[in-house]
Amino acid sequence: MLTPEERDLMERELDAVHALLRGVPERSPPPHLKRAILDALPLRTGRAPGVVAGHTSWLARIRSSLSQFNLAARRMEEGFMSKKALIIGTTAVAFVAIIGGAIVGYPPTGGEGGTIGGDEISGVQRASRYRGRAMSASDVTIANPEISVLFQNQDVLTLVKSEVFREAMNNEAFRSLQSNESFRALMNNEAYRAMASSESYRALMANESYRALMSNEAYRSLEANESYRALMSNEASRAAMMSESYRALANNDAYRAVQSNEAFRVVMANDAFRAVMSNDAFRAVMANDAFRAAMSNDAFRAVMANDAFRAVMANDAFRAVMSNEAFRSLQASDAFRSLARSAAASEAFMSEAMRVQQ
Amino acid sequence: MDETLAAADEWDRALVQRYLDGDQHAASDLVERYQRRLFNVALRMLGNQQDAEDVTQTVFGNAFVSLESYDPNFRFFSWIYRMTVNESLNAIKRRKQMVTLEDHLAIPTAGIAADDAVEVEEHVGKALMQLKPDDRAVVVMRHFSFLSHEEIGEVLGVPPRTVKSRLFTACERLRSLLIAQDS
Repeated sequence: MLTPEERDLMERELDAVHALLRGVPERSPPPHLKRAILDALPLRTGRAPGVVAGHTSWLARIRSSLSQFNLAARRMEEGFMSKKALIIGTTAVAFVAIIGGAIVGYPPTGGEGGTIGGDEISGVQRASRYRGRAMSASDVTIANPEISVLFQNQDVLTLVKSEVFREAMNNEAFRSLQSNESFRALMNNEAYRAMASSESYRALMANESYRALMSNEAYRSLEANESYRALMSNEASRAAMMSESYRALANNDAYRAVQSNEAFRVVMANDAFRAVMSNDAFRAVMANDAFRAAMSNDAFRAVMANDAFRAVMANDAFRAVMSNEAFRSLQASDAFRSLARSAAASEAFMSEAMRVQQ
Repeated sequence: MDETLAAADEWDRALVQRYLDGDQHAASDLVERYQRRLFNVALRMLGNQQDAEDVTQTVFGNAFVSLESYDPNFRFFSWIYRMTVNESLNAIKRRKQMVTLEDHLAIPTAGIAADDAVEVEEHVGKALMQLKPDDRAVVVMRHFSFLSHEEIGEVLGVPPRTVKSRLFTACERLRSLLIAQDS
């Protein structure tokens, strides 16, 4: 039987163990893993009445076995392929992807085959009801008046010739974002678009502590919590939290609700969270209505939890492009948006951009 | 149930339904939503990145094959976590030996800016690998996945009070191992 002193000592030591465990960072899965998983998926065309559960299992299991071999091969590829070779090999795909998603905000979706792999997503055949006629290269050429008009704009020309634009296009994280539906949904979200154009948001995205916080599962869970969002939408409570003066919060219902949330308690003990709380850009963003609206958006939270998105946001070139006036004008251009709905059109635009860059 | 969890479950259910209806984007989103968490559970259970990748892939493969028979009255989250823990335990059994120190150290540390974090990870990782796999599973779910006692109980099929007592024992053991390492 332990004495009270011994019990106290043990509890303190256990607290120290817990603190140590909290210091162990989360790992990002390797980039090839998602592809390997999706490659092994059973083909689906929708649940038909009378389908026996497990009917396709044998096929799926064969695919799964083959995929295990592919996974090993990809590990080797990742080990041997130089970054440069990878960039060259995937340049065309990247162009479509970037235009389709990150830059324009209207990524190609559905039957137009606006994602990597055309009618297939990551090697998985799309259900037939999602198919549409894919545009061919002959449908879209530089003779396309929409593309011609864009390239007659001096600002657009300057942008596509710039080093930051070229560098952003070579970012691998862009490519993996394209298979993420939440990202595509987010890019169509007005609140997000409003927020993304604000200086404070871009400053926040450049902040290392904030990005660390975004990779924290407990914080992501907290962001999805209504009470937390209610708390953060209240100016007084925000000020109190950020000044770490909690007395002012004692009578706040949302705060009390949040306090009982496990994720909140974990987040409050997180160094990155405390660093972010005292960050000016974070304060500015939290006071931004568009940001709070975005926080209540499922797609936004899913994208914030996405490794590729965080990698993109950590990329200086991408942020430079995002803050470029010409880029924002380009984003706002109807012609450009309509181009991005088609993979072929996007490709034609990017081919032209490449030609201009040379 | 906590509203956050309820919303997350609702989102999972919607994705599962969309997948069953033939929307392959939903599969991609489910993988995106869970791969990081499951990979980290497997990594901390196995102490080896390649094994963790294999387990994560196998779990998703089995999960998607079994979705036809998945009962949406159960939480997707606890279902897939349970598969991950079980598959990790199976992988440990298949090895027929405890993971070696070299295996543990095989976890690449690239991308971690702070030297302290690397040191803590190695220190804790060594001790973790010396816990019994069942105890390790509880510690991993509690301290790396931030699951509540109730959620861990749901994953493991045991009452929360069993989780609490197993966790306490495991942490005590971990504490002794860490102290032993220091000395």
